[in-house]
Amino acid sequence: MLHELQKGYLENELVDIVGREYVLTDDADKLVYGLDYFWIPRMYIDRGKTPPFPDFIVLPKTTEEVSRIVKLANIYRIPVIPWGGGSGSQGGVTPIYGGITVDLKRMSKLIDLNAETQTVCVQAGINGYDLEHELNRKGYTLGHIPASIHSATMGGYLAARGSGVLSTKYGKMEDIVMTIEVVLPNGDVIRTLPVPTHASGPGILQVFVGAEGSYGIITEATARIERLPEERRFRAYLFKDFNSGLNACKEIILSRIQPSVLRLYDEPESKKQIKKILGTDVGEGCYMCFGIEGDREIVEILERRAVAISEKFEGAELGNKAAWEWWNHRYNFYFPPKALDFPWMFGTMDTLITFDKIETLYWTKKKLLEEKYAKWDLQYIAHLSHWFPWGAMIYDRFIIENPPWDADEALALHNEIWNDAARVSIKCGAVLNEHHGIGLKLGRLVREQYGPAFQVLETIKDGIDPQHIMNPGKMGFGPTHS
Amino acid sequence: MQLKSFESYKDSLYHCRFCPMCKPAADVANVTNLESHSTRGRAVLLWRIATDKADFTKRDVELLYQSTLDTISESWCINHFPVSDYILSARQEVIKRDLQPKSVKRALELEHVVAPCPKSDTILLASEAAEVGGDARIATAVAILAKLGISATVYQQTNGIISYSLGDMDQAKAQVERVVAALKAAGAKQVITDGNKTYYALTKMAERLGVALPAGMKVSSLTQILHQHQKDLPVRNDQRKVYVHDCKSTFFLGDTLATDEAIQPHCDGNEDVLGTGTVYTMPRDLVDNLGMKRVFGVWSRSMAKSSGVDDGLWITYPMLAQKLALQRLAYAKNLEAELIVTDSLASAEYLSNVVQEDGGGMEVVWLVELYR
Repeated sequence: MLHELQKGYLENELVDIVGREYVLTDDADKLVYGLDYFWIPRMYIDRGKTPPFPDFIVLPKTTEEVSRIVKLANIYRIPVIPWGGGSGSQGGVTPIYGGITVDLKRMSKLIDLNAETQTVCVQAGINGYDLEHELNRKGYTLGHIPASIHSATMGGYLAARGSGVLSTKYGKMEDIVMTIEVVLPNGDVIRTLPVPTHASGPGILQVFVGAEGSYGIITEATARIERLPEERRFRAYLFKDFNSGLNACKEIILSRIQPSVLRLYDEPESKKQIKKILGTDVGEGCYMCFGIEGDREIVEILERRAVAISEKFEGAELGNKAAWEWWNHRYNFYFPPKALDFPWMFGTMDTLITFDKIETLYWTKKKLLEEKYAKWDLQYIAHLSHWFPWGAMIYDRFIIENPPWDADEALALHNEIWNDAARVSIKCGAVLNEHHGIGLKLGRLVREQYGPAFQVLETIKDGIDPQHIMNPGKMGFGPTHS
Repeated sequence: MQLKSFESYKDSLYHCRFCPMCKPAADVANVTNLESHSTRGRAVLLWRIATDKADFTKRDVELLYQSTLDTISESWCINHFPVSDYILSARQEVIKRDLQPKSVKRALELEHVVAPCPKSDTILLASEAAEVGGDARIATAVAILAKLGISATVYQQTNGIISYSLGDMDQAKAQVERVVAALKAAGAKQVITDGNKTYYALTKMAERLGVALPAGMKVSSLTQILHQHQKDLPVRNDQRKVYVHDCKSTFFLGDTLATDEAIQPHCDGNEDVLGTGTVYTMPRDLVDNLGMKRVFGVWSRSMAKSSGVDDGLWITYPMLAQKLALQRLAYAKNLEAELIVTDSLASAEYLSNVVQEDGGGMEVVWLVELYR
């Protein structure tokens, strides 16, 4: 804990680095920067409580300024929390030990678009929508189109190993990124190797991607980009049950058709969300849609194959209107009042698992949560939306429409549900998360997930950040060493 | 629709307070990059106040005024939550409690009196020129009108819109009443406005404040007059690439706001998804008829970003206003426009001044000047 006098000196030094205008200490600003999309601090605000605040907010303009801030933080032994768009749902930026929140959005340049290599180099604070819009204007796409695109930044994409709607074809962020610039916890600035795949020793790039600011601050990234597809087609089907739909999807993936989009909704979500949001009455069953994109000739062939597979598993075709409706209005899901919002308690428990275990996980988790939390009328809905050559992500959610009003009770219930959901995922052979990250919310479970392997992450942390100033309390790591 | 009490907007604020979806839109947040300037940041602070969980602090008030009315976020939002109204209402509450910053008090001092209006049937109400200057442009407008057979007398007078946008509704009402009375005393039958901000003030703003125009007094914008007389205007084949800047008051004058197609990253080419109405099509028709090549920019029509000369910001926080203007200029440049055309005199004047201070690089033209 810094004394007020020390805080004053630290503030002066931060002003020296970034200028008066870009150092914020007012409570109003601190409140705003204490909130991202994590349910708990928002619940605190909702109940009239105060969520954790940073001590300072700074907005650097250059990597050099970031480096100087981090060096200063080491001298004062004060936490540093990188901030991008504030759209994370896991409490990755919740400043539970106070500290300096470093908002990177002034570092938002598109530095270079290399048409020959088909890559783009950007500063980490660039807004996802701004980047994609600019790429689209030039005939390209990042291929990473997440729901958070309007708010998130490149740095945030990489920090949480994000997935976009088209990840089944184009990959997750860890697949799309080529090279990054990072400010290490000691203030040194490093660059990873110029290509992501090599045989030049272990890959340093993937040490930092997904580290959620625990190992350093990503300040610049080069990523591969794709040409906008000549053709994009969608189809939608209704399967009589989850098993039939899943079998169809598995076959599509295992045939290596590589759709850009493949989504299978379980019955509750088909009924609840699709009908509510698209205004389409899909009837009983599980809604599935797929998208294929690329060169017209190739799309033609792949679409035919995917259609044949869907029909083989008795999918009833809904035409492509329903699928295009979903594609053209997919962001509508995230605007209030359609978005999941207060006063509900809710969470997205996305996890990733191999094909042979998906149904076991789905039914086990569904049964556990619906039975154990029946008194809260917990609803469990799920869809599968990001597919891999060997498995899929279950994007499952819990919803409690009338959670406890008392903040402590709400926190306890929230964490209990998450514990149960996460532990059953691990037990069934899945992982804690697919693309939202770990943050504060799941940090306490990381050691369970990794078991003895956690020491690898911990040793890197202790070596690279001996004072634990970088985003402490997240990813299962402890507080800053005093 | 009447402005409601600040507490009445708590339901809208409830939804906005945690929603990050309009991040790319908000004017000031996108030049300062401060989360506290974002629509979400502002909403969480205002919600606490509207629900009596907190009171206005100096910083809350400062953040409230370091903003335009954020109509762009309102248009971007697929549900069009009333962002501009809850900002206005919050400002009205601040004024009621006498908490406004000194810079706002200074701005409000501009609208205490009106000069008499020269007697004439046809008045060119140059309120935007009264705000930011532009005598030469007004003279051009008068000359062009004369060529069209319209003899207009200039009345350069602020009209209450600065007070309105800063939340002092009583002063706004008093000022627009004074202006209307002056026009009536002058015998004005036709009032031509120098831009959409003036047009909005004399029509929808006045109506909202409960001020009626005298029977028989017709208000037209300069753009409407030019559009009506298109065939009488000189024809040129000007092939330059032009970006049409819509001032933020057009948000209130259009027929529809942006559709959800506008928020797609690939949105490109179809301007109707950004808002519809003759307030947008008329200046574009005029530009097209001159042979100019319009470039598409998603931050247009009801989603137009501020040129800096909106909602009193160039008076209350001039550094912010300048940043907004520079962003606008950079945007047009990025779209490879060779010039910016706007039917807002205030935008043309302010952007031109900023261009000059910034060392040139983009021509900014008031629409009527194209017919010089």
